[in-house]
This record gives sequence, C-alpha cells and structure tokens, in this order.
Amino acid sequence: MEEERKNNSNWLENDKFDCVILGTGLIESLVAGALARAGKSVLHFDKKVVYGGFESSFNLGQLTTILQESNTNVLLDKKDLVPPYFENVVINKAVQTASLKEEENQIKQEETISTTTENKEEDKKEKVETTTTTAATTMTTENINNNDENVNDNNNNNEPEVLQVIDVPLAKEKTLEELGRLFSIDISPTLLYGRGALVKLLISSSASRYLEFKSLDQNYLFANGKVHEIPSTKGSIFKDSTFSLKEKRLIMKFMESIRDLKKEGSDLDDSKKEEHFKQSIAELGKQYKNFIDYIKSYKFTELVESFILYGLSLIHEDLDSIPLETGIESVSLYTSSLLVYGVSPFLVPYYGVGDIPQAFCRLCAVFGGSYVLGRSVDSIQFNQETGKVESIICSEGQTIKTNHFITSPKYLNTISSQNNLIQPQKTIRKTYSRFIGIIDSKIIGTQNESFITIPPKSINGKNKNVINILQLSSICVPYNKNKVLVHFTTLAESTAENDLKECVEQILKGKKDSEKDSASPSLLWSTYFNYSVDFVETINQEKDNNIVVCSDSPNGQTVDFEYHISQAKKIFETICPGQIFLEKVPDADDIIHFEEPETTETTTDNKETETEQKVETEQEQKIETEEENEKEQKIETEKKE
Amino acid sequence: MCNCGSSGEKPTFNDRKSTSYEHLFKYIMVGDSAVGKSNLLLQFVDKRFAPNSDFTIGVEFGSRSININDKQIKLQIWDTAGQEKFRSITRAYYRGAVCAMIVYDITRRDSFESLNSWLTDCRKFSSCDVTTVLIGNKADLEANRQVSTSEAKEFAEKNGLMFFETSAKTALNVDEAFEKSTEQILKKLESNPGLLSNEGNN
Repeated sequence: MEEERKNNSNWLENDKFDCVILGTGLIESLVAGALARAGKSVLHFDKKVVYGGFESSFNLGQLTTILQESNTNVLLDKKDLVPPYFENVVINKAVQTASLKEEENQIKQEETISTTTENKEEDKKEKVETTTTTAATTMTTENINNNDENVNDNNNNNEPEVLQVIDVPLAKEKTLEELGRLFSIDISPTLLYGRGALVKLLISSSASRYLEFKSLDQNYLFANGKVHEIPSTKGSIFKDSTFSLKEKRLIMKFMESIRDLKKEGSDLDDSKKEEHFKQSIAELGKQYKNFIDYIKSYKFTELVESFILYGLSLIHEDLDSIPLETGIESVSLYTSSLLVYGVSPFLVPYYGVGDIPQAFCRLCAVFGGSYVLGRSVDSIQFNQETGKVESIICSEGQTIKTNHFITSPKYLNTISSQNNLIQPQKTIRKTYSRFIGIIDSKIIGTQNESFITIPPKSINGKNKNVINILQLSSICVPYNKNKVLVHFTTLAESTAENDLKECVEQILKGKKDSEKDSASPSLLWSTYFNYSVDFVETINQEKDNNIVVCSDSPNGQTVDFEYHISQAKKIFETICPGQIFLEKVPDADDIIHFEEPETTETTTDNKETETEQKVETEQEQKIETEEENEKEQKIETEKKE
Repeated sequence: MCNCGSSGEKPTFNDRKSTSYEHLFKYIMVGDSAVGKSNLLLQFVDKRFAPNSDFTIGVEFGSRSININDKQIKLQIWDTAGQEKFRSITRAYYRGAVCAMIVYDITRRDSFESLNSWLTDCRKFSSCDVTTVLIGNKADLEANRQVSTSEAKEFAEKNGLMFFETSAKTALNVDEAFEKSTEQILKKLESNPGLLSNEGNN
C-alpha cells in the first residue's frame, strides 16, 4: 500500500484548489465550512482517520489504542506528532488488557462480516462466554448486582418499556469491553451556553441539523468537602439551604447589578444596550482593574465569593488577571442562558464534542469541499518571486496547486519547505491534566449530566488550579447499563496523575448526607493523561506567504467556543474579505421537493395540503424570530429518561 | 439524529414543513464514488436523470412522500456529499438512519468488491436495527455487466440484505427499492415500536 501511495501524481482528479486545509480541529473545520459556503474550492486533510484532532470523541477501544500509541515509541518521530497525542498516559491496567483484546476481536468480527447473520449471532454468544471467563468475570457479576439495586431508579425515571424489549435478545449482562463501542469519550469535553457563540452560529449557519444536544441537569460547586447545587433561578436561590438569608440578598444584588449593566430586559435596542455596557465598564474600570477586584468590592463571604467566581463565571484559568469586561460578560452569558433550553444554562453535545467539527466538515462537503482523512501534507512549495505559497505535496506524492494553506502549529512542525519560508509561530502553550473514568454509578449527590467546579485549594488545600468535572450518565454512554463517564480537567502543574489523583479519590468517595444516599461509585476503567494546546495569538501570516496558522482547537477549561469562532472568522475574512461567514443554508426541502403524482386517490388532497403548507411555511419563516428558530432545534431539553 | 419521529411527537428541525405524514424515515446512501448514488436520489425524488452532472452543490438530502398501506411516509434521503471518495464520511451521517442503501455499479467489479467494507461501516456507525438494501445500479448497461445478478443475490442473502438491480437512468426498480424497503421498515416497526427511539440508535 505504502509504495502505491508514493509518487501517485494522479491520485486526486482535481489538482488545483483555492484553499488546502490540514487538520480537522474545530477552527480548521469552521474555516473549511465557511470557505466552501462562500464558493471557494477546499481540500481538507487530516493525518488521522478520525475527524476533529483534539476535538474528537472516541469509543473505548479507539481511545485505549490512541492513548497507548502516545505512551510507546511509536510517536517519537516528529512527523507523527499531530493532534491528538498525549503525554504521561496512565491507563488502569486490569481492565485495559481485556478491552484491547476485545476491540481486536470486534474488529476481526466486523471484517469477516460476510458470514451469515445467524452465524454472527452465535459468534456473539460465544464471545460473551469466552470473555466472561477471563479477567472480566468479577466485573460482570458486580454489574448484575448493581442492576438489581438500581431497578428502582430506572422506574422512577419512567423509561419507556419498549427499550427493554430491545435488550431482551442479549439476556446476558454485557461486559464493559462489549459495550465499549457505545461510548463517545471526548478528549476535551466542553459545555455550551444556551445563548453562547456556538449555538448562535449553529442556528445562523443551519449546521444544527447535524447535531443534537442535551441540557445539562445541574451545575455544582465543590466546597467544604461536598458538592453544592448552584441555584439557577431566583426561586431556587431562595429555596437553597447552603447560603444564609443575608448571603442570598448579596447574590441577588450582584446578579441584578450585572443585569443592569447589560440593560437586560429593557426596551433599548441592542446597539444602545451595547453602548450602555461599554460606558458602564469604562466607569467601573476606573475603580477596578480586574474582575476579581470588582468581586472583592462586594465584600462577600468566602462561600459567596467562590460561588460567583467559580460557579457563575466559567473562566477558570488565570483567575487573578481576568479583565473586568470579560468576567462580567461571562456572568452575563451565564444568567442570560438560564432557562433557555433547560434549568441549567448549558448544553452538552449528545454524541460528544467530536460531532461539532464534523458538522462543519459535512457542511463544507455539501458545498463541494473534498475530504481526505488518513493523509497529510508533506511539503510546501513557494513562488520564488512573490514568496507566497504555490503548491503543496501531499503524502500521496501528488503536487496540488493552492492559493492558501491553513493549518495549526503542531501540523506545521511536520511539514518541510524550501528555504525555511515558514516562519515559526508565536504561540502560547497551555498543558492540561485530564482524567477519564468509567464508573458504575453517579457521583454522590449529583444528577445525570452534571458539571462540578472545584475551586483552588479545596482538595485538602492542595490543588493550585480550578478542577472541572463533567459527568455524563445518559448520553455518550451505553444506554441503561449503569455506566457513568466522568471527565476531570485542570491546568497542569505536574503529570495528570499527580494533579488529579487525590481529587478523583475524594470526589468518587463522596460525602454522604444520610444513610439513604447510594454507595460510592467504583471505577471500572480509567486513564490519566496530559495534552498541550498551542494558542496562536495573531493571525497575520496571510499577508506574507498566504499560510495561515490557527490555534489548536481543544478547549481545556473554557466553556463554549467563542474564541474558536472568532479566530475562524478572522481567518475567513483574510481570505474572503467582506463576505458573510457561514451564511444560512436554505432548507433542503425547499430545493428538492416532489410529491408523488400517482399516490393513488389521495394525490390531489396531498397536493392541496402541500401548497397550503408551503404558503404557511413562507409566512412562518417571515415571522420566525430567533427565539422560535431555536425552539425548532433538535435540542433535547428534558426528561429523556 | 432522530429525524424519524412519528407525527405525534414534537417536531424536529427538519420535519416541521409537513405534518401530513405518519413517519419520517432517514435513508442514507453509501457505496463507491460514481456508482450513481446521487442519480438514484434524483430519480426517486425528482423523476429525472442528469447524466455526467456534477453532483448538486448545496443539497443535503432529498425528500419525497410515499404512500404505503394507506400510510403517508416521508422519506428523507441523505447523500454522501462526496465524502465517500476517500472513505471520509462523518459519523453523524449514519446516525438516526433507519435504512442504508449500499450501492454498487453492475459494470464495475471493484465497486462490488468494496461492499464488505461499506457494510462494516454501516453496521459500526448505524443503529443495530438499520434496514440494509443492496442496490446494483446501472442495470441498463447490460452489455458492460461485470457482476452477475446471481452473485449479488447470493451476497445479499448471505448478509441479510434486500436486493434490487436498478437503473437511475431508466428509473427501473428505483421506486420499488424505496417502497419495498419502507414496507419492511414498517413491518419491523409493528413488531418493535421502540425502533425509532433515540436510545435504539446506539
């Protein structure tokens, strides 16, 4: 295969593109979608066979494989250091060997799919038997026990009975390894604000049709060794038992003042509101340098202060230097996103963050973009006179002419060029420590989809940075199998294991309020790893040589994708000045719609209703406000369970 | 992506236009490049054939309502948008599909040889209950045939697929393939009403 690939000069039919993009992280994917939408021809590569770079989601087997690759010498070659790759990987060994073996089995089985379906069924049964005899035995029995315990839970959740029918043919409890492919595990999980930048963009660009979201159930703050709900509405603040009445008044006063700064709920138009906000910030700026000074000025109690700093503002890095405006915007985004799609202001992608870059890649493809996964760009050639990029040579050996080349710093390091015309980028590197665990029940005191913020110094006074936990127990995990996915993220001080181990132990152990609380969850599978993100602060390369280097996409501890979207916009504007970024795509139903003429006697009726509907739809669309549009999103807001 | 809720459920983004159908089924087309996937879609949805056309830019999917057993069913057929060429189809494409049409070209042996890997992808990324249909397209080009009907039939039986030889050009069997597969889905639905629920898509 390798030999075939090299020097294959006719590998792509088309060898001339407006833009070649290398890497399918979110920023690159946004740019790809926007460029294709604006009529540019786009060729989009990713060296990996999975979309998304660091922004990808994997099933359990895939994740184990890529984590292990990072830990061996496989990646020592500089050329292989493309997203996603990791450092200091530790995998819970006992389960890991079994899961790998299983994944191999599964792949083998899928490859030999041409056996009859009946045989396949039999294979499966055999497989269950063989695996249960190995290391997984104890785990299987545990699971069965847990099932019995949790029967009540399931009933309370009102799960449709039909779903159990689906499970009947597989009477045996599946092992974690067998369920592995049903997980969507994010490398860098992210929450979205209901009124945040990405949701707005998904609606305005029509890319929402590829995605589904679920509203987060509850947002928590970890204080005094236990999780506290962050009250989200006036009502819930007053019902809350964590704060004293005086503290509650202070919180309300603070939230009112933020609303007032933004003139929320007033009749002013948006530009007036914006103006008012800018003026107010400028006023406040005279007194307070940073957001933290402003918060301190309220003289809150310690608990209220951390509630606002960590619970309402979701900027959890460089806390001491958050600019006043940024901090207030963050709180304001939080409060304005409340009750938009659910009680919590946050949405979580239903099948993992990995779907988000894919949505924009699909959009790019629909508008003619070409997609090549598993291939890369080997070198760049420049025009001798202008110094601008002229062509790239892809890993197939074919030379492809292009006017623009877009990639991220890690990829850029893998590419060779004549005369070193690629300028090294000024980047800011941040390293994150991550823990991913699969546990058998929820963290004590939390709801299904939960976000927990752990302020600095609250794990035995040790953690220097904020630690964020995202718990998913009804999405991204096998349905109805008592498997819960927990993601821990923090800025790295040391290796992931050193940074997070104590925290993981303390959180999973939990603190029981009463005997009624369920038992502490136990770990079925887990991993620690670090990854690094290179942020490119200025997008100015375009002027010099038509190469644009964008930041790595993973989000670390930031909520939503405002940074990514604004960077993608900037890149788009350097290439397509004055054009609309990701213009709305007309509904496909408007383009091709055909009502079968010979659907027997109902035809005429149908046609009439159809025209009626079309008229209705047109009117509907005219009066459609953004609000209504949002409602029509396939956003899962409630009681799935 | 559950575009397949019955009309009683809350409307989703894509099916708000028409409430006069009982079910909305998402169909996906897979198979090698240039086997005629887009043309099958065009023939079924718009009753036309566009030889050598560049694939339609800016179109996600085509829809058409059909009447099966007095039930109005809306089919929403998704096209690969060319991402099949380098095997770079996004996972979301498969999500929520109730029927996958795996298409090969009867005049190109290689497109038949790829079927196994397409089948693997479908089973890997779609729900376990996805109805899979094997389509041998370009049946009007009998003189250039490289894949015999009996061989394809055998493959279909072995893998539990429905099988049709079609021509997007002459419209041979195109409607039949969609109608018969919809009938089968409806039958499955009768015996398992949970088929279209989101959780089933795992």
